[in-house]
Amino acid sequence: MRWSVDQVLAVAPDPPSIAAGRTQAAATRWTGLGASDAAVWGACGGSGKNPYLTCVQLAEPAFRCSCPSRKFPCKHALGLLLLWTEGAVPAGEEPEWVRGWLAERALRGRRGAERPEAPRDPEAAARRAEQRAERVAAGAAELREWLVDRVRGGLAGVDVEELYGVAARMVDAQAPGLAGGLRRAAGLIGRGRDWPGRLLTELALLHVLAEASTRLPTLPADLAATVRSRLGFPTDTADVLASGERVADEWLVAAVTDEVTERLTTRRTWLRGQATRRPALVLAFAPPGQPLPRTFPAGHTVRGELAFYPGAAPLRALVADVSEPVRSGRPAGDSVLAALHSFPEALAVDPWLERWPVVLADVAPVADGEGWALVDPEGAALPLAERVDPWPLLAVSAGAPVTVAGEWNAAGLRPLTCWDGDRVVRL
Amino acid sequence: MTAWEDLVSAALLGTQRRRPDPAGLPAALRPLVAEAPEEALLTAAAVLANYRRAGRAPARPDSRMPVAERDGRPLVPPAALRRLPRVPAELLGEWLQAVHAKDMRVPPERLPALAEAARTRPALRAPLAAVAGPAGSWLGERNPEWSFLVAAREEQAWEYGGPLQRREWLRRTLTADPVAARAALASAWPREPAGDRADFLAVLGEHLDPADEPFLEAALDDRAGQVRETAAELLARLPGSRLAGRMRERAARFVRHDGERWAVTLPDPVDADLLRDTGGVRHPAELLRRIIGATPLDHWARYGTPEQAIARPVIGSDPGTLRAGWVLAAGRQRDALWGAALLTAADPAAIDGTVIQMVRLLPARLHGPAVAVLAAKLSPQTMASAVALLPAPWTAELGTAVLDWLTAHPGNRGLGGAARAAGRTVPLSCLRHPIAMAALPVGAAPWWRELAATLTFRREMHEELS
Repeated sequence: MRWSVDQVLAVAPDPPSIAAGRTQAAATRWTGLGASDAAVWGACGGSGKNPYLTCVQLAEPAFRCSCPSRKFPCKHALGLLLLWTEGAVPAGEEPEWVRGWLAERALRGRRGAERPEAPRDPEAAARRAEQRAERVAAGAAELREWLVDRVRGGLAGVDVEELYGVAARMVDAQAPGLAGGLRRAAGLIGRGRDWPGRLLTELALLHVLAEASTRLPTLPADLAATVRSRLGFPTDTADVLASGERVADEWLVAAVTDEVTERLTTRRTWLRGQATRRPALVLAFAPPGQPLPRTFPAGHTVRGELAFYPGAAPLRALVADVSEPVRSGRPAGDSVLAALHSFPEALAVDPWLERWPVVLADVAPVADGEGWALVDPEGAALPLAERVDPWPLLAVSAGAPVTVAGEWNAAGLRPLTCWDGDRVVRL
Repeated sequence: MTAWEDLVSAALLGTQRRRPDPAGLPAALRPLVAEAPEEALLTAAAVLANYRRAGRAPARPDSRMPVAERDGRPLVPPAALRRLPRVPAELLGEWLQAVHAKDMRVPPERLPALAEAARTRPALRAPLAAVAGPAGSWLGERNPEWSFLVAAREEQAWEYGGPLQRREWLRRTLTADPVAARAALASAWPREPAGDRADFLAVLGEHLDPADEPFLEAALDDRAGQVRETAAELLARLPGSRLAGRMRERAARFVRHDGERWAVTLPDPVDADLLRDTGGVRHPAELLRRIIGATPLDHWARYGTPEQAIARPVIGSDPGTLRAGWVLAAGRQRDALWGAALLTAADPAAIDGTVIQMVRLLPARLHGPAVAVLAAKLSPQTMASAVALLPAPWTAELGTAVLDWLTAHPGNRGLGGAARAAGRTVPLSCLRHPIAMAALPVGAAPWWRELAATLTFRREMHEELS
């Protein structure tokens, strides 16, 4: 049944989104519009070369759009729904990318429902694990075939819809890590000057991952653990707490950042051992709109033990046993060169590493072509990532050196915390 | 072409059409490419991509940024900072002014969002620039959209500042050292763009002195209409000026006292001297309004009190034209007697913004009675629009009178606009008015609760900053 306008407005995150959504509710902006009992979809022309693919699953509801908006649902989804309320969306068959997404969601929903009642039956567990390994292997084989085929025909011909379709099949194959990589790849198409290079990087690393998945039994145990986690095999937190590597230290909470996607809010808390210099990543999850489990505030320290997940470059950890957080002053940080040197070591054992934590001491902002960079007293500089809003950090620094904690990767530095004297500022 | 670029273009075109050149690859990768080309390309790309990520060298920029001066002012208290995101746009200026008045600063990381707000709301710019201090100037120099944050050094503001800073300098210096200010204005005058000349004149108008007359007389011949109009406006506020004398003569010629009536002749719109003195309009009735508006009000004293002058019948023109001229004159000459008489005599159907201005001419003790006069003449709905037109700032007496008037109409649902205007505009001393402190009366219209909330919000806002 079609929704009323009020129902549509009720799912909007804020009034500006409603206004923006109305601007998108013009049939001339859309192609491939369609609606079934389960979903409404369409492709909306944006500023980029490729149109954004927008789809709304009506039951929950759930939203997906290939646009980069952080608003959820985005203006395209709202515009699409408003058009639909006006009767301007024709009934139709779900195209492949919509069907794939719906199937993927159905599967996830079922798995979520199954989890609590899973009994501790080691034989059944082993059988399930074997079945899963077989499905992942089949998915990986399919992905490799597809990759070879696409490289032969040319990546210029790959479009977003096709990548989403393959991603949905990887979800069916219980390899969410492969699916996630394909969706990231879909987001790169047509974006920025060097998108072909970034697309090739993403797909080539997926290819290595798919290949590694076929060799799991022969890989060293640590590397196998890394590959398994990158493929998306779950790790039981109880096992991590029971047998994971324990490291005791005074841990600085260097940065905290939340990432909101349609199904999940993920909080990344980056810790840094003051004596061991070990970086650690603690993840916390919550459904959108729900509060996250208690986490530590940036700029504090906690004393005690973390338990690390297994892996070749163990980074992800669980909080095992730590004291209450205590406010700390400005931490000691590294030079740009020292921070850069720590990255390849980690990358060498985990080539799929997406982000690496850095704490930079005494870096000052400097204009760097179109963007901004942070330069240390030795004159070495790291660029800020393009998507970062540099102004809050620039305002705190006002030209003077500051200590900055953030995430580094090939796209640049994403500052998350800086210190204004001893005052911690979450950026 | 680098080995990487070669791989990317082969992948983009497809290995069917183009094979990557193995010669460009590191030796360890070459054998791969020679065999199964697609798999090999993907493997080589994965290796090279991570070489590139891992081997990234830091940039070596050769330029540095200047460092802003240290700002020694204390940060606003935490409670005020927690409130900041909830301060509605129309109260943001008041919040910033209160912060500035306490000589505090906001944490610098909040400045970009505030600068964005001020970019679209110019009224926030000056208070934000003051609160933002040296960090704000530094940001304004980096981001042209926020250039209004740049505080030119005080002594250099006139020479090098932006329009906003120069006006501020002029305003400050007209108070502190009027002679230097006027000298600076006169010497810069010929080089200034027309828009700035008109703005500077308006600032001068805030400190108008009879000695400014020659300068303003000269400005009546300015090339720019906007400047001529402002000059005529300011001269009209100097009762002893030559312009005032010329206008007196014209008033006597066009408005004659004929028994118990005013006999009006409309002026001729081709009189060049008249056009020069009135800023250049060519409509007879409008010319008459401007003549009356620029004639010193004491001109009419020999014909009786303001009340008598206003009550007298008019022949030869619309009586409204004459009255509009007096309204203009009373406003310019800050004449409370005429203001009160015009307000009292105003026809309820003709009460507009210019008549409402009369309220401000009255001494504070008469603000309450003035609101009572208006309220008696006007329906609550019309009164509500009049309240929205009352020029800010309001005195405590005016604020109290308006809140009292609202209190008398708890159930009237048409007063939302007036209640909103009152909530924003009443001065601090009115924030504890019973309308905010007492319980919501039974049957009160929704604006009542909203008004009480606004007054309470403002009270808490100021308490946090004290």
